[in-house]
Amino acid sequence: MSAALKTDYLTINMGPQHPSTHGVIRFIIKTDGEIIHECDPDIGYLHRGIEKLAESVSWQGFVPFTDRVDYVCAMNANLSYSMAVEKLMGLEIPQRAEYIRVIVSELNRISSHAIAIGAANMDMGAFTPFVHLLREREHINDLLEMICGARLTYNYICIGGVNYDLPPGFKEKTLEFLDHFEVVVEQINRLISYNQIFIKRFANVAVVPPEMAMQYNLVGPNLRGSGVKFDVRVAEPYSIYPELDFDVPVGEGYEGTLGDCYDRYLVRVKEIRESIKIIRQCLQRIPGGEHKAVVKNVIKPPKGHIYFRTETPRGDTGYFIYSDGKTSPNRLKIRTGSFTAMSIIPEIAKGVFIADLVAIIGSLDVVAPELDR
Amino acid sequence: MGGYFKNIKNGFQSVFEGLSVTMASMLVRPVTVQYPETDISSNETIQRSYKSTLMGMPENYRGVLGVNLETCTSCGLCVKACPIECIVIDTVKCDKTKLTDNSGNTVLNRFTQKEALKTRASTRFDINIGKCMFCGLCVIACPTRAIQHTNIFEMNRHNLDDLVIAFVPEEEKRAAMARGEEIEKEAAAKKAAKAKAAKEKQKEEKTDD
Repeated sequence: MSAALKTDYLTINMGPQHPSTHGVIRFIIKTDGEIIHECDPDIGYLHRGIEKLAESVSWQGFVPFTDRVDYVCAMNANLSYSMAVEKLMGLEIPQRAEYIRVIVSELNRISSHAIAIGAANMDMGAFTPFVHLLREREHINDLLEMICGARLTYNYICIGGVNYDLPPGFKEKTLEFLDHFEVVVEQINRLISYNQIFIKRFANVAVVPPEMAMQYNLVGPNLRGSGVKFDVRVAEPYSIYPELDFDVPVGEGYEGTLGDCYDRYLVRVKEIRESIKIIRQCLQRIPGGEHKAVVKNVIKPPKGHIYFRTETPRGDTGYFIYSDGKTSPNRLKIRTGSFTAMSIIPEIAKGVFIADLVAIIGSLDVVAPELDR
Repeated sequence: MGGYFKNIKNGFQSVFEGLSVTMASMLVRPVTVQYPETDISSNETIQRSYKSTLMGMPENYRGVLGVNLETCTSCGLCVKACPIECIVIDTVKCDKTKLTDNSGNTVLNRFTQKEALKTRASTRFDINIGKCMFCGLCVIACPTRAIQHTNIFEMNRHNLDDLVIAFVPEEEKRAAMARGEEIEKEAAAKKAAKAKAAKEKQKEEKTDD
């Protein structure tokens, strides 16, 4: 009887509008009962042609567009692009600007990781930590709004330095926040990270061994979660990072296997602490002086091309720029961490439960606008 | 079997530990500000009606753009700086005047530190706030700080056309156009007179020969 019964895989769509895909992504899943047989990510729903837009705006005019590449960590995207153009032009920027840049981008890293951690928790059904972390993120938004007047798309870091100097009282308010936030990180750990139910959902799921992580070109916390100690801030130091003292946390198989979802999650929690350490050092050492180098209104970088990458919360973001000596880039290509993180999903999603796919997306911290640009 | 019970015990323990954090947050002051009932335009107004830890809108908030035509020289640098072309300026020639701000001080050019001269008047200064992305590049580029962000953030309008803010009023536009034409006529007359004079001079020189 059972031999005559014809069975087939059931194809279901997850997305494009799905609360746990963190944006507009679609997964075409072939399921065998509750087990995923094949998972095919379908991207491109948020494609806005930002790379093409770069060819029709001025060099400074593209900075606000980099905000929109990854709106969760706009400062880091600003930094990446600005540094690439500065390298191309051979522009020296004031020391104060370097310190301000590192402070704001690390603040943004904390807020981005807060969202990543909170969203991963929310995907696992724990809503409270997400709300707690959003509340804390509000303080960072307030701090960054105090500097530049915007809450999400900052356009603060510009070619040649930063647009506005630090306002009075910023240092005290930031230190106050860091003191407060260090306690909150411990609270969040007690609230959810060490929760047995949460660990059972995340541990030993979607294991990415170090070799596989490197083969698939994972970057950032996803790579470090697999135990590979690679951080662009340390490996190819830029700005003032060589002078700063911080660790690069890696996954160690905290609850079971090395490179599982829980490792990737915990690396982010640990990175928040490192960022706090970096900001404290910067606030202590920040020198006086100018906050912006003298840059012309219309800049024309020399002919040539450059690839420059910085460490953003979602791995390293690289900007390839080809200049033909005119007032706008001839070609610009953005390389982001979410894209490579997405490419590994078909591989690790094979043979897991549908419910665990949500855990995978949550732990890889994929942000849709960065994926499609 | 021992592992099984230990598992349950650990689970309960960690759940109650998490719950203790949740319970503790009941004692924390709420951070949600009840907008629009609460005025969020500054920290003081928030604190008046709400004991919140949030800072409220800062002074340098990047809201809808505002233009002070008194100090605007219609140089068009903001138009060039804008990456999405949401500013439109039309200009005519006007009488040369030195710029003074509201308190009577001369306005200096931010970049050259020289006195700013007004040689053009704008007959049209439109900003499309529907297009604007509030990046602030025009504000950075403006040499006399005529274009500034206001702290208006409520941008709902009934019509799409209302999203285009025209800063030059109709009467001023007509007056500037009329004056511009006059100046142009005068300049043309001057030029013609000059040309005539030159011609006559040439003629005289010829007759002299």
